[in-house]
Amino acid sequence: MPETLEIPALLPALPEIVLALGAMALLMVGAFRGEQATKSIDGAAILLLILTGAVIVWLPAGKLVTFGGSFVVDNFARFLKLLALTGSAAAILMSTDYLAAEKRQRFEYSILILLATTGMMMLISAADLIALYLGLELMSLSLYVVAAIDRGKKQNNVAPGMLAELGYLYLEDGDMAQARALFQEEIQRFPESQPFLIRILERSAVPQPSMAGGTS
Amino acid sequence: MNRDTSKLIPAVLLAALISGCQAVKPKDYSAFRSEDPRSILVVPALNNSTSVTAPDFFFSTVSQPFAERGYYVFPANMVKSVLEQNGLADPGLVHNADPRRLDALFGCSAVLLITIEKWQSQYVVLATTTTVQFEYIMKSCKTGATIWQDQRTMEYSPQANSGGGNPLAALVAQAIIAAIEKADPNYMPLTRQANLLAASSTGQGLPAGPYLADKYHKDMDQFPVGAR
Repeated sequence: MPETLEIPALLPALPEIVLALGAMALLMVGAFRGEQATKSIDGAAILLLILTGAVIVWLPAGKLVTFGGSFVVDNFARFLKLLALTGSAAAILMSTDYLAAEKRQRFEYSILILLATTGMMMLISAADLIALYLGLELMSLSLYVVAAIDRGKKQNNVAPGMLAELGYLYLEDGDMAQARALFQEEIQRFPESQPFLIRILERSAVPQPSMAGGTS
Repeated sequence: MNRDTSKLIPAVLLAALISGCQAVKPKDYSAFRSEDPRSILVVPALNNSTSVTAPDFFFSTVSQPFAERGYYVFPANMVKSVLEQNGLADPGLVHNADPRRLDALFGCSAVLLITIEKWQSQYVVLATTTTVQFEYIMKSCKTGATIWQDQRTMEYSPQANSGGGNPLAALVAQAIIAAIEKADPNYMPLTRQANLLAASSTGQGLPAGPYLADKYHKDMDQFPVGAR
């Protein structure tokens, strides 16, 4: 059957193709330039989303059908796709500050969002179950990675005062060595605590009338 | 979008919601900026309310919001017991003491003195209003001068939302809800909210401290020097 061997019309799926190829290109940039490219990749991801939106607007008007009827682009699909693109761009814009503040920038983050967006657009245009399935997988696979991107990373932030507080409990319990170690750790992390904690240590180092001292 | 503003939008919206959308002028931060504190000593709160348990509940909520503004906040429990050992067990004594005396004990750059003005729940059969009111004063440990102050009042009265139906049932529901609120007033969320707003409202709270390295000394617009 020569009909099935024909290459289907790719034009209706052009926005998805642009987005997917762009995301892969950015992935290559990130892979070779490493974490320092994070900022430029975030910016490029936004530009890519805008470009994809422009391609959607540019597509010929009316209902476009391709891939043997399983991929449909009509006006509602166009609207929803623009909505999905806007949402993704907003997500990238809003999260970069937070990730930077928490020192968790990774260049993969915006690329994964781009790939998830490709899945969303595929879902929007799906007209039968197999296309729906492809879109769902494409979207959720990258979202799983986004959800787990920070798993297993050790958080090494202790709130100010926590170590001192614990050290003080040890001190009250008479465990000077533990207390000193914890106080020193607190001083190392928060130099402002030094005068106070040194003073506490000095005061407790003074031999106090203990029971053992009393009997000897 | 500007880096700072995008993050501040939710906080500003929340503040606007609670302050009834009045336009608030930023405070004058010249005293604060010239002092440039790195650490905050939070001492036990002075209690002007009629509740006996208020100070301890309150004291457990203060450290976090102020620490999250980027300052070193001294360990609360430890501070309390060290003050007691040094003959400053009563909050009134600490509040009236010369802050420079605290500097000798703690080496702090600023001390935060908080007064609990209201901590009450008023019950009028169909409506219970829980109110907390705090006064925050920050003094320099080096000079004893006041470098920042703020005041927050939070109110909460639960509402039964029964859409339509029997008006008598709605009244009964409202009475039950009011009674529950009276029996177990919801102080802690209000207190946390008050502290958060006091510490981090734009133009009203504390400028970013040294542990917020990306904002430290860079938020002159939000926390201006000199009155506007």
